[in-house]
Formats: sequence, C-alpha cells, structure tokens
Amino acid sequence: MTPVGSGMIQGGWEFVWSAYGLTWVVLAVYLAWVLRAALRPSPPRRLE
Amino acid sequence: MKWELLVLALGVLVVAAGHAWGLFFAPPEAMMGDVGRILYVHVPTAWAGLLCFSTAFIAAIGTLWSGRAGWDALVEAASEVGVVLTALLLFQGSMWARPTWGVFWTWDPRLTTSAIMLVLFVGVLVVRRVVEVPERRMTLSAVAAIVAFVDVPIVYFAVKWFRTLHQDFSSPRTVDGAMVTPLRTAAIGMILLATGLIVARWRVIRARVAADLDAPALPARPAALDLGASNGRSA
Repeated sequence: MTPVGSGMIQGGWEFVWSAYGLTWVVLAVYLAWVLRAALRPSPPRRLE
Repeated sequence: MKWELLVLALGVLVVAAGHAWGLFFAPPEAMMGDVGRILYVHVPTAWAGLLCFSTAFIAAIGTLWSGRAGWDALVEAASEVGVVLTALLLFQGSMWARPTWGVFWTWDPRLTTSAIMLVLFVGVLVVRRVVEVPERRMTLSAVAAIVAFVDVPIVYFAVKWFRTLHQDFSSPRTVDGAMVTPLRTAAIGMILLATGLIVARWRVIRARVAADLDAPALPARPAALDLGASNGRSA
C-alpha cells in the first residue's frame, strides 16, 4: 500500500489536453474577432 | 493596426513553443506526474491576466487624472483581455484541480478571490455598455476599474495570506530548473499576445470613444414635449 503523501498521479492527460485545447480554441476565436474588428475600415469622422 | 500585428504573431509563436516544450520535452512533475504540465498554460495565463488588470488600473487613474479618451479606451481594452484570460485561467485551474484535489472547484481563498476578480472586471465592461453618456461612462468605468483592482493584490498574495490548497508562487525558487525555461517562454509569449490584443482592441475602442465624444449632445428637454407651454398653461 502506498503511504499517504508519496507516489505520483498516473495518467490525467485528458485534463491536460482539455486545458490546452480550450485555451487555444478560445484564444484563436478571440484573436480572429479582434483582428476582424481592427482591420475593418473605420467610419469617416463627423464633420459637423 | 501596425506593430501590434507583429507582436501578436510573435506572441502566438512563442506561446506555442513554450507549450510544446512543456507538453513534450519537460519532465513530469514529481508528484502530479503529467497533470503538472498544466503549469505551462495556467501560470502564464494568470500572470498575463493580472498584468492586464494592472494596466486597466493605471489607465483608470490616467482617465480620472486627464479625462483623455486614450486612457478611457485603455481601461476597456485591458479589462476585456483580462476577463478573457481570467475566464480561461479558472477553467485551466479546474482541469488541474480535478485530478490533484479530487474536485473541479472548491471555495479556496485563491480560487474564490480569482472568481470575484473576474466578476468585478465583467462589471467594468457592463458599465461600459450600459452608461451611454461618454463623460459619465468614462468616470464611472474608471472608478469601477479602480474598485475592481483592489482584489488583484489579494488574488496574488492569497497563497501567502490565507490557509489555502493552492500551491505557492511559481518562480525559479519554487519550480525545478528543467521547468523554468518552458514556463518563462510560455509566459513571455502570453504577455506578448496580451499586449498585442490590448493594443488592437485599444485602437478600435479609442476610435469609438472619440466618435462618441464628437457627437452633438441631445437636448435635455425637447421643446415638443413641453406640454404645459404648448397648452398655454404655466408650470
């Protein structure tokens, strides 16, 4: 029996991939939204 | 849209390099094993998020001090990027907590204060959307950002000030040498990415704020609605 406070967690790659995967997906979507808004030509300034 | 495109591209590349290093080449953590690799995405996201909120705080002071649209736009841009990163941070943390603590969430001081920080800065963005008068929006959102920032040092020092499940600061003193380089690489990349995002958003928001400030003010009381005067009665 492994004593408390020793040993190494086995596996858990699904949590690792979830953390990295969602981070990259959210950052990619947000980046695309930011660039879309940033690259859109700005409206002409009001003259009056 | 100028140099920030380069910063964004560089940030994506450096973050990808740091993550690849952490996922495939760094050693597994002594007790958490491969789950410990979440370190390389979680900690850089936290640092970048806290820097975004610190930027919003400085911009809020600049707004109240000068009343300039540039500072006002920076409050919104930095708060928005910080909110995205902090939402990701909480998700990454829950993915780390489940295999190590046995739960996705617990009302630990570090976690709770981080969630409060997210809600407070979402509140700043809500103020930006709800208040229509530009000058009033500028003042209210700056005050809201300063109030929200009070929680930022509490989040950072929560692991020192309170009894907490969360691990100590991740620094070269507390992280093994083999893990420091990928951690720093991912952190530099994430800060570059956050900087590029803030600047890109700042340009768009500043143009909108300037247009709002240029717009003619609406009359406080349209003459057509002055019913007492039109009926010949005095008020």
